[in-house]
Amino acid sequence: MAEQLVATGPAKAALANFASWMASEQRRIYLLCLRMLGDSDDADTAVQDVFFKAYRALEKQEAEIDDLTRWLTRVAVNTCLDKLRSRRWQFWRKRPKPEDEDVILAMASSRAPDAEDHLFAQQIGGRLKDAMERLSERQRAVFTLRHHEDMSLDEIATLLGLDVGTVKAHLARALAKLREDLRDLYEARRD
Amino acid sequence: MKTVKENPNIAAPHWSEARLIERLYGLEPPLELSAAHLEICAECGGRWKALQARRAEMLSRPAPAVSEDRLRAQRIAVFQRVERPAARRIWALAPAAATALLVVLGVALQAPAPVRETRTASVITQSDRELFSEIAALMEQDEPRAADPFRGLFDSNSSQEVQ
Repeated sequence: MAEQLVATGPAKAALANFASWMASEQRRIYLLCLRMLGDSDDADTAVQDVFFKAYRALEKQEAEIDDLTRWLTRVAVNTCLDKLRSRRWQFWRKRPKPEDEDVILAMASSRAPDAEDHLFAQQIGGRLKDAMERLSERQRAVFTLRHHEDMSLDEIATLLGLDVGTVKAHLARALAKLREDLRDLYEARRD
Repeated sequence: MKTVKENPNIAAPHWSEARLIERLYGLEPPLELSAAHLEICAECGGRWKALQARRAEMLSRPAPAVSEDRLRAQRIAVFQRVERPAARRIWALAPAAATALLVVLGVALQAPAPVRETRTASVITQSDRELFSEIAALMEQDEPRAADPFRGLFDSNSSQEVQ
């Protein structure tokens, strides 16, 4: 699809490679933003910000980039952290839209066809979303990168510019909070 | 005689689910918990393997589907932003321009400060009259007042000479 887009002006020269690179990374970055922000509109805006920043940085060649994928992930995580920080003041924000909950559910649900499993997965999806909202920005970032992206603690530390001990502390607190928030679901499942 | 060597890991405490999950995510367990216990204890080992299997299954799932229309709309928005940098920069200056405009308007529309009226005395009293006449008398004198004592000195001398 990206190949069908025609750019003019200053973007023209860089667009050939940029468009295909963006198309290859876009889905991963969108899902990362959606997991961190929990809102599809916010994730859309974040993805636009990420690739716009990436384009500008590549155009200016501001920094030497060894691993383009990891660098882009860092840009995405920092963009989401900025959005989460600014969201602190948006007390009027409501619960996520039902379609967002469906996407989050798809991320969390079991693929088992069992109706009970499906119902449980639905419950988990909604509750996980709420529980994630209660994590701090850093806790959410660390948990998302570890749980969904399966990054090592060292990689997360490098990505977020923290030391490994701090990452472990954030992860331990995030896990404890999530367990506490979802305790009744686990207990119901075990019984 | 045969001595029975007891494995200390069997006596080690069992792992709770919370500790197993922390281990799954790469966090170190407290000192009293032994990783070797998971190899020996069937219950803890079974729960640990089940958690690992569940995580492996979760990671192997394909990424959730994302609508191609959504992705395309994102790309279009990015390219539009890339191609209109100047316009965006102008809009970025809008808050500063609005503030400056407000300051200028505020200064321009500010009401001038009220002029203070100078008050003159409407009634001239007796003491004022005396003061004015004294000042007028001083102004009419040719010699400064400081010369008066000397004048008196000369006046008395001249009267003695006559006598």
